[in-house]
Amino acid sequence: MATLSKLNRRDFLKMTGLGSAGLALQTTVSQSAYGAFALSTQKAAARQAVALNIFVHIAANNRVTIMAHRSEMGQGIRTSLPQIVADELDADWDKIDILQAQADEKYGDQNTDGSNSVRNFFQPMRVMGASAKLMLRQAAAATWQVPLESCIAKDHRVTHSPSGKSLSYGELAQAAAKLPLPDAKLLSFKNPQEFKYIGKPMAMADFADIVRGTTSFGIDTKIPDMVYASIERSPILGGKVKSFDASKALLIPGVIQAVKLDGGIEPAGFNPLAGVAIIATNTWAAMEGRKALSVTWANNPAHAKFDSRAAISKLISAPVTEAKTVATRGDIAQAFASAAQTYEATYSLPHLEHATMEPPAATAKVTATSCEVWACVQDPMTARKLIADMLGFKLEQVTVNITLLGGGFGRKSKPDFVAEAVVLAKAIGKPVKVTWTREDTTRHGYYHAFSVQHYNAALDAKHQIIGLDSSVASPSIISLFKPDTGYMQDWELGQGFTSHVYKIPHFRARNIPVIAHTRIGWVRSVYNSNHAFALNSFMDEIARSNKIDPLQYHLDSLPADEPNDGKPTTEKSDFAYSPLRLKNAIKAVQKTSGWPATVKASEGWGFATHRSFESYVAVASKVSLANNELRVLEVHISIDCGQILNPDRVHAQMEGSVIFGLSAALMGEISFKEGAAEQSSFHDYPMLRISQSPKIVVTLISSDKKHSGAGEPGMPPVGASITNAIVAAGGPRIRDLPIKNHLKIG
Amino acid sequence: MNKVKINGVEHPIDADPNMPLLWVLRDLLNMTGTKFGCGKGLCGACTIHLNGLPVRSCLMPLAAAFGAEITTIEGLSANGDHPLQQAWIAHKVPQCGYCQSGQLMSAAALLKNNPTPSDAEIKDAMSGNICRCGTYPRIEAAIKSVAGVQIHQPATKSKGAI
Ligand code: FES
Ligand code: FES
Repeated sequence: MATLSKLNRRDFLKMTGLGSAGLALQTTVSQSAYGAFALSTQKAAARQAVALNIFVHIAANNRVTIMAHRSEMGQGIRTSLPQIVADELDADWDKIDILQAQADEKYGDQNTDGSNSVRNFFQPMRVMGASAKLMLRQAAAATWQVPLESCIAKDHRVTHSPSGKSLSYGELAQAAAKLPLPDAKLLSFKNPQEFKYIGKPMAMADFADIVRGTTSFGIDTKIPDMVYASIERSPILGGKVKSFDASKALLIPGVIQAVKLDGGIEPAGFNPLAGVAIIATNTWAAMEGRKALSVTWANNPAHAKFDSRAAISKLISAPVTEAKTVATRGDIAQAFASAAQTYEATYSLPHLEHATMEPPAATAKVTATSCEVWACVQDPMTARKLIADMLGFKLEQVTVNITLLGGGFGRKSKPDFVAEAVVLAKAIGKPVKVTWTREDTTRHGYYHAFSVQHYNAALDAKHQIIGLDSSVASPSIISLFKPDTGYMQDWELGQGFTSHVYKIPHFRARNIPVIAHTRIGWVRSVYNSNHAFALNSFMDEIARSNKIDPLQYHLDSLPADEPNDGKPTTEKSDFAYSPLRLKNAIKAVQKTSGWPATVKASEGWGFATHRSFESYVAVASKVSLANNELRVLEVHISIDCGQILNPDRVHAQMEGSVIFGLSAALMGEISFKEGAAEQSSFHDYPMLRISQSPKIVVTLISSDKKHSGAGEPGMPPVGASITNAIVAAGGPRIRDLPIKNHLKIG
Repeated sequence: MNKVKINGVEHPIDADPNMPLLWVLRDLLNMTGTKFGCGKGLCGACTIHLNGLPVRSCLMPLAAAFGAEITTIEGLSANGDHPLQQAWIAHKVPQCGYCQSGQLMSAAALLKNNPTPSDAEIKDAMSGNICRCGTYPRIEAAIKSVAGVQIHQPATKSKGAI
C-alpha cells in the first residue's frame, strides 16, 4: 500500500477541508459518543475526495483514506487502528491509504504513550467505520429508491440484494458525504466471528517504504530555505550560559551564526535547555562548529554536586527516615512478632536513557502570525500547546506535522527539542532544523528514575509471606512540573510497588523522599520495571533460601480464587487485578520453557512475572555463566493483553520488550558526576546487539477480556528473570543493576 | 567540480572533501534513506556500500568516494525488490524502521560476498548494526530465508539520469 507523498498530504488536507471554519468538531473520542463527531461534507474538487467523517475519506477513484491520529514508532498503530475502521467499513484493505493526521483536538487524545492506543480507541474506531458504511448504504438506497435493508455493503461495494445492482464505495462517496450524521442507535457492529482484519496479523502499512528507505522521520525533514542547527547545552540541569566565544566556529565553512538560548526556568518541564546553537548550511557544519565553540557555564549549585552512584549507595545504607506510609493493610508489627523467619534485602536500579535510534529532531518555520513544525512527536497536542504558549499564539496558528518516529519509548513525548527549533527559527527569521547528536541524546535526556527499594518479609513456618514491609526511594516525574518534594506520586507507586496481588495479609509500603537532580521522564514501562525487579528478586531469594521452586512459589503465593477481580488490591491501587490471569501467564512460560528444566552445571533458569498496563506477563530465562561471563541463551515470555487486534505486532512488541529489558538489565546505566551525565554514546551506554540476542519464545494468551497494553508490559519482568537465572547458574545474587558492574557480558 | 557515483548516477558535488558521506547524501543530495544514529561508527544506521563493501558513511569522508561506486538503500534494487527487501516484508521485520536501511545494507553486503553464511557469520556481520526496537530475531530469520538464493547485482539507473 502506498503512502501519499508529502506534497499530496498537504494538498489532500486542504481538499478535504477538515478543520475549516463552521465545522463543529468536538474534542474527545474517548467517550466514544457518536455525537462527538460532526461530518465534513466539503467536496474536494480536484480529486473528488470527500470525508464521511474525520477519520474516513473516500475518493471517486474508490481509494479510501483512513486518518492515523496516533504516532507511529514501530508499534504498528498506523496499521492497527485503521484495521478496525476498515473492518467495520467492509473496505478492501488493498484500496486503503493511511494518512497521518496533524495535531488537532478533533481527533481526541493523540498523546501516544501509556500503551493506550488500542485500549482507548477500539470502540471509537469501530464507530468511524460503521457510520461511514451506513452512510454509503443510505446513499445507495436513495439512489435506487429501495429500502435500506436491501442494500448490503461488502468488499468495498454496496449491492442491492434482490436486483444485484451494485455501486462501488467510490461511486457512492459523493452522495454519502451529503447525508447527515446517522443516529448512533442505527449503527450495527460486526460479531467477532465476522472480523476480516481485526485480530489478523496485517503487515504494517509502512513496510514497503521502510525497506526502500523512502519514509520520512523527523530527522529527514527538508523545507525550502531551511538552515541546520546543533546545540551545545548546559551539562548540568539549570545551568546558564555565562559567556561564549564562537569566533573559531564562525570560520568553519558553512557555519552561519551562533545563537544563545536562555533556557527556561525550573521546574524544567519541556522548556528548551540553556545553550548555544550553531546555525549552518548543513548538519555536519553545525556539528563541527560546535566543536570549535567555547562556552563558560554558570552552574546551578543545587545540581552541580550530584553524584548518582553516591546517592544510591547512601540510600542503600541509610536508615529509613522521613518515610511516608503510602499503603497499609493488616498489622505489620503483629506479623513480625509472630514470624517463624524473616528475610530482608535492598535493591537498586540506576538512571536510564531512552536511546531512540533516531535522535530527537524537529524543524520549525515561524512567521509573525503562524508557526509550522515537522517533528517526531509522541504527544503532538502538548507540542502544539507549548509552541502556542511560547509564541503567544492561539492553537489554530500552530500546525504540528507528525513524522514517523525512529523509536519513541517515551522520549518523544517531551517536545523540548521542538521548542528549541521554534525558538531558533523565530530568532533568526528562517526555518531551522535542530538535530540532536547521540551525545546530546545521552547527556540531556529525560531519564528513567533510579530506584532504591528495601524489602523485609515475615514468613510463617511454611515460608509463606505473612507480612511485607517495604520502602522505595526514587525521584518523581512530578519534579519536571512542580517544585520537588522528593515524594513519588500515587500512580508511580501504584506501578507494582503498592499494588500487587500476592496474598500477604499484613503489608506496609513507605516512600522515602529523594530530590531529582536531572530531568526525570517516563521510559518504556516507567516505574514498573524498577518495582518488578525488586519484588521478583526478593521472592526468588526467599524461595531459593528455603529450597522452594521459585516459579511454584509465585503460584503458591497467589490467591486461589479471584477475590481481587474488579476490586483494589490495596488502598492505593484502583484497578482490577486477576490472580487467575497472572497464573495462566505463569503456566504458559512454565510450559514452553519446560520448567523446571534440567541444565548443564554452568547454566540456570530464572523466572519473573509482572502485571502492568492491565496486561499479565511472565518470563522464564536461561543463562550460562562461564569464567564470570554471562550469556543469555533463551527468554520465554507470555502475555495476556485481552483481545488482540494484531497478533503479529503484539508478538513483535514482546520480542522488542525482551531486548529492551535485556539492554537495561545487562548494561543500562546513566551515572552522574558533578551534576553531569558521564555517558555519551553507544560505547559507554551500550545496547544489546544481534550477537547477544537470545532465542525468544513468545506465547500470546488468547482472551476475550478487554484490550490492554502491549507496548510496555513485556519489559518489567525481564531484568529479574536474568538475575534470578544467574543465581541458578551458580553465580552471585545481583541486587544492584546493571549486571555489567558485577559480571562480564558476553 | 568533483563527482561521486551513487547508485549508478554521477553527482557533481561542491563540498569540503572531509565532509562525511552521510551528510553529503542526506543534506546535499537529499537522499535521506541513509540514517544518522551516532556519527561514531557504533550503530550501523548509516551503512552504505563502497565498491560493494559495507562502510559506515558517518566516518567515510567524501574524498574516499571520488572514483568509487557508492550504493545506498535507495539503489539497493530498482524496484525495492531485492530478495532481502522482499524477505524483510515477508518476515515483518521492521518496527520503527529507522535502523533498517543500515541493517539491509549490511545484510546485502554479507550475502553478496558470502551467499551461504553460517549462523555465526550472520551474527558477526550484523553485530555492528544496533536495532533499539529489538528486531534481531526477525532480521536473522529473514537473512536465513534468503541465504543461498541467487542475488542479482544492484540495478543501476542509466548514466546521467538524475
Ligand atoms: S551513524 Fe554511522 S555508525 Fe552510527
Ligand atoms: S526497527 Fe526501530 S531501531 Fe530497528
